[in-house]
Amino acid sequence: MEQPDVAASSIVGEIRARVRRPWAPSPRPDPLLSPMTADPNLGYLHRHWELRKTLEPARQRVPAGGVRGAVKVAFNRLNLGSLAPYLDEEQELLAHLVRLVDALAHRCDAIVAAQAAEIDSLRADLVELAARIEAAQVEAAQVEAAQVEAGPSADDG
Amino acid sequence: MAEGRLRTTVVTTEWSGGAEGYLVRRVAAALAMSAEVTVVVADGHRGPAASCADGAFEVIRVPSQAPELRRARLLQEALTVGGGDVTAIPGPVRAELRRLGGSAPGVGQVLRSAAPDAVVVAGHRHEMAMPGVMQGRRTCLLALAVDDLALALSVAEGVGDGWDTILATNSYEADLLRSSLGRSGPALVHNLGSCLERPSGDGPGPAGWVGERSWLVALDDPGSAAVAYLALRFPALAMVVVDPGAGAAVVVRGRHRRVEAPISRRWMWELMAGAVATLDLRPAQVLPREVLESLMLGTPVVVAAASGAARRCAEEANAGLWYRDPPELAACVARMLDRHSRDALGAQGRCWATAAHANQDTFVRATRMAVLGHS
Repeated sequence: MEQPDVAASSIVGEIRARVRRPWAPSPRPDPLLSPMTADPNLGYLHRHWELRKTLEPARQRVPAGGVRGAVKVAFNRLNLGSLAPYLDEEQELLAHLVRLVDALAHRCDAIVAAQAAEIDSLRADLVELAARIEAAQVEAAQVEAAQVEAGPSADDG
Repeated sequence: MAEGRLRTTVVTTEWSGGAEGYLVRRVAAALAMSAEVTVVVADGHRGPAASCADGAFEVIRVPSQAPELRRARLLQEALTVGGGDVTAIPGPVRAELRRLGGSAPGVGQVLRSAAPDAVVVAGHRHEMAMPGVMQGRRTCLLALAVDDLALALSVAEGVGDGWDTILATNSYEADLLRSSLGRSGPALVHNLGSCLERPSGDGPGPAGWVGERSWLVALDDPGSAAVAYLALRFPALAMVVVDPGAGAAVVVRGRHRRVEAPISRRWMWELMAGAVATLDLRPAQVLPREVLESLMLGTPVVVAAASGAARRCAEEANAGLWYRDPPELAACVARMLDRHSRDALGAQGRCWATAAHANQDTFVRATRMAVLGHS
């Protein structure tokens, strides 16, 4: 069979090997960090920091009758009365700790969001820069082609 | 009616303009050379008016009920977006798709009274209500498979089963049918070719109208992004953007559109004959008619790599280039500006297209053999 003068498939292969595609940044990695504010442990702290609720049943309990009941009530009052300042302090400490953890979680999430926004902005700037460079290259190639088509000028000697 | 001639009925929804209608009319005309042909057109309520082709055949129009083809197509595409598996579409949804496709129950009645020896069903979008009527007759399906999706859905519905012969009009479609329907035997799938009118590029020449020494013919919507991209990449080259369906052409150069005019097919051929290349930027077509016409005129083509039949034509003819994305499209156009490559590809295309797609005798013989069982 006679060989064709020009093989279309080889031209296409040559074009595919040669064509430069517009620059694009590599794919953005999926965010690996889940928000700290959604952490289940933080939720637990919010639900359980209030310890007074735990003591409330002992304070509210109706005393049983008889000597045994009276002793029990007296013992409870003595205990709670002597420990109350300490427990209040501890309650305040826990509340502050939970607030601090909460603020840290919000701060962490804000830092991650700001970082992601900065990366996105940087990538957008890079894409725009690449587009400008490519447009300048195309324009330069067209000017060069037009000069070749126009032929040598008198200035060229 | 002549005694002893076979009677053939062509049942179709595609009898108006467009590539599908063109192919169906070609098949009907080829059969009419040795058989009595009746064409049953399943129209929508507001179907196309009678065309000049109606005068050449006995045409019976049967109303089709509630065809909502556009909605059916959109639903199909939504269900298979991202290359989804068509067979995974649940049965009730498939039934809804069939309902949207409409039905033409009157076709069965017409076939019973016509009692043809052979039936050709062109296209497969309608339920023709023909079970039982087809028994004892030679049955042929002119598939008009535009893409893998339509065909895959048809296969899932079993549309490809039960035919004596399945007809294709180019090698791409034939291969698609064989692989999708699982029929490797060439006897079941026949490639008829497309029997195009041989175009003539002779004429006063449209160069004055274009107003440039050299131009490209681009088949697309003048407002498309691809046209704008090419116009900016090749500001020194005029582009005649032709929309064959609308019969209109626009000359685009750089950022300017200069001439906008209605255009006849003959004028389009003259434009193609004088062009550097013909770019077919449209989605895949059943029949890449303009690509073949351009090749017959000796003008090479640039087509999308995913354009199915058009890309196959460019490959088989060794007369066209295909692109995957805009940078490759621009590189293909730049390559066509090389006179040696362009002329060599054009000459190869003219030889191939004229032999493979403009031989009326071959088409008529193949059609008769496939449908009537003799040439």
